[in-house]
Amino acid sequence: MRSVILPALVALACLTGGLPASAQTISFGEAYDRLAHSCGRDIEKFCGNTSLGGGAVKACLEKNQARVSAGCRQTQAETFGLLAKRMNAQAVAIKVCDRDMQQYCRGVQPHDGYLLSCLLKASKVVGPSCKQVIVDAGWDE
Amino acid sequence: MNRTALALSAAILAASGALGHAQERLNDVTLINTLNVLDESTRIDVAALRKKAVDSVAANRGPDRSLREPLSMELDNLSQVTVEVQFKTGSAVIRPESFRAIGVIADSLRHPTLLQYTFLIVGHTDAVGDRKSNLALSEKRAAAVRQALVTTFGIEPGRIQSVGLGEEQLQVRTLGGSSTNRRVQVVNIGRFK
Repeated sequence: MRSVILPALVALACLTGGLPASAQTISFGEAYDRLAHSCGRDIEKFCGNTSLGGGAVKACLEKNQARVSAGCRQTQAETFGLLAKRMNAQAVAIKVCDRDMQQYCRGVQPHDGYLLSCLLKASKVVGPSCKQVIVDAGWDE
Repeated sequence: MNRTALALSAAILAASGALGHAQERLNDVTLINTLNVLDESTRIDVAALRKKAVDSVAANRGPDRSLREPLSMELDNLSQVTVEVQFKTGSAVIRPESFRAIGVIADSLRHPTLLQYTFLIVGHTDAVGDRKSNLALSEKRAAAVRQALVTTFGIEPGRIQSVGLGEEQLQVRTLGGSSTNRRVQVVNIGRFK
């Protein structure tokens, strides 16, 4: 009995102990690399004259959803969701870390670049939600 | 700094074979470190640079391309990365092989370390075909990269400008058709706000 409970407790401690979970998000580089690999042929076929700008490639793939390969459909579903989560984390980081910034980044110029750079320097001591948002933003490396 | 930028360009270019695999070498950590230096003593006037390129073509400056001097020496002294971007032939449509490269540039420019800077995307073609058409094509391609970065990849439009230099600033003057000449530079040109 004890042999089961102990690992369970350790697992629980890890989950609640403030250790940030690994990033459940993805970078633009990674997302568009996967997209090019899984959907490259479909893009050449259905979206050959579509520019990468304006989200047009994504829109073109969606428009041709019934015709693209199953692998391409699956990659789209996986990557765009993870990418959206990363974008959201980057967008809300300053807000989520507001209290930590007041503590560790006082006197820093009110410029997103300087504030976020300060946060990254302080990332070892900031609170768990701030730590998590930095991980989700892909800025913890 | 310049040495680092050139070394990186060389590494990327040296590895670029017929396939797009060279781009695998591009990574955001290297890009961020390379671009994180601003030379405050050099000011790049993008409109003036664009005009200089147009005038260069109109005047047939350096008719022998193997002897043609670079259009802007100061540009090459700034912190920059050189990336090979694959476009459809004769078009500004970026091919899927290069989606990752544009994505990595975006990841880097969105990183807190680089948020304080503005950048110039410079497009170059090789020296095959008509000089004037090459200038127009490079302008469109540089604009397409900028457009992708500020829309699909969500970078503040005020942080990026673009310009095309056609074949007015060849990397390898002696080999006009070399793929090394077909390149996109991302150059740190100033402070944002």
